[in-house]
Amino acid sequence: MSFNQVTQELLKGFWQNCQLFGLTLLFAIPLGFIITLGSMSKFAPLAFIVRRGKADKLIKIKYLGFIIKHILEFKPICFITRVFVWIIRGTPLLLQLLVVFYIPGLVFDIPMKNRLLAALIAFVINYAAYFSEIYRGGIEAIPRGQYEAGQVLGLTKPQVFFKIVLMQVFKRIIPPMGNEIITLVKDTSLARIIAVAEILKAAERFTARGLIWPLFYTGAFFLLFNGLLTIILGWIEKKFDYYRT
Amino acid sequence: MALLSVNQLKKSFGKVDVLKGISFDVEQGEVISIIGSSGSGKTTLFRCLNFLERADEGNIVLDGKMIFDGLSHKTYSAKEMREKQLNFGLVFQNFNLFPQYTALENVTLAMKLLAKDGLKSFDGDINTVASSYLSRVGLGDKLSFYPCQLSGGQQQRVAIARALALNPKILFFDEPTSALDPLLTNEVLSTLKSLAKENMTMIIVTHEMKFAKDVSTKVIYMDGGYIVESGTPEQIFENPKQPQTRSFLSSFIETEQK
Repeated sequence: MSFNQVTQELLKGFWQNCQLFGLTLLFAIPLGFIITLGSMSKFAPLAFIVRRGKADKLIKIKYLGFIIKHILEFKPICFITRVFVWIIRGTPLLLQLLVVFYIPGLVFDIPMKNRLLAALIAFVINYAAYFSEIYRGGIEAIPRGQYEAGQVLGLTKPQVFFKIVLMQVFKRIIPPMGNEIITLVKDTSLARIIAVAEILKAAERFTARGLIWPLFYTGAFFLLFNGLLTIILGWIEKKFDYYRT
Repeated sequence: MALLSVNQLKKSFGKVDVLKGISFDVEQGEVISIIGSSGSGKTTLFRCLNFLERADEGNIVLDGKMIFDGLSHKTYSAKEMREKQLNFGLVFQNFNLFPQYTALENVTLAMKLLAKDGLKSFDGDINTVASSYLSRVGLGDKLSFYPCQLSGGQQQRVAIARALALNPKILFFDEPTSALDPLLTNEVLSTLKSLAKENMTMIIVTHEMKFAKDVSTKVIYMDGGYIVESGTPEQIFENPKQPQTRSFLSSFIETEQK
């Protein structure tokens, strides 16, 4: 096996990693935002009873009132989203890949035929959950004064969010997003567990034939890719250097 | 008839009563200084008047029109709320400029959006109008500077221009110089003085007693959620009637002498 042949084979594998990477970002970035909206939702269907003053007496009951207040202020959308994020962030991505690949076949009798698609779904869900927490942190870090300044200038809530807050959130989330994105590049090789023909899988085929060095050589592909990403991320960060939040 | 009339405004947060019935009138062109120690309810009063908080009781009448009524639970449309909001301008203690915009853009942002939504109209090109406001506060040469490139005093003056540009009936200042060193404080105070000369109606929460004495037409002393005493600067500073006012002012003189 010549070096060139190995490189070509590994490149074929790495193309799968790149596809997974690009598509995951494409879907997880907007999906993360939707999850953020859910986890920041203030929708509390029972709270209108409190607002009408009907539950005032209930809340004032000793000891029990405290619990009643919490039940009335229960925010279902926020709760469900946060449980979802807890599950996704609290279990290994490797396990999630296996669940997405095997559960449809085992439970619903519709086996996942496309391994790349299964991997993509698992990655999108996992990364969207992480991204959503980064977005939430970024939004919550914007001082209340920015919203209030917008309000006293007569702007609507959407105007305040899109014209004032969003750009500042963007600047704040670039560094943590950069971290996640670089982690994603490396995580794509986890797809090997459901036999996606990604680069490590390709290298293992050489190992099976007694050739060990291609396995280590794969590191160079990741390093090169991440080096490029680091440069791009640094450039984006610099673009936002003209102001400080 | 008074331009603004505040009647028995009350506000509490949980069990803490912050405003216990505040009433006062403001005439066109008046400059009112509100003094008092921290925790006396000055900032909460401002926030209630500017709709950043909802008062529990009382009412606010502007130009003979009730703009807030604690008794009514009527909900207003977003447009009505914006129109009410635009009667007043508010300058914050910590400026709250928008960091990603230049000085000029900070002023034009709201102007452009309000013009687009038909809530305000401006004579001539918005950029020109905005830069004339910035020139008026002495920042005609800083139009394209970002807030982080400006000193605190300059930032506060941009904030003043931003509020002025929307042509409010009354301009509120919430401790506009508390975040500034003495030199920058003077810079902002002289801007306020020139606004007072132009007959701008202003209500200023301040700890600058000399400024309050020199510039205001009326001084209000607040303590513990009440207006303890109000009157002309001469009455309040030279001949305070209430013992609380006297002890507050004497503590001020002591600290200033130190």
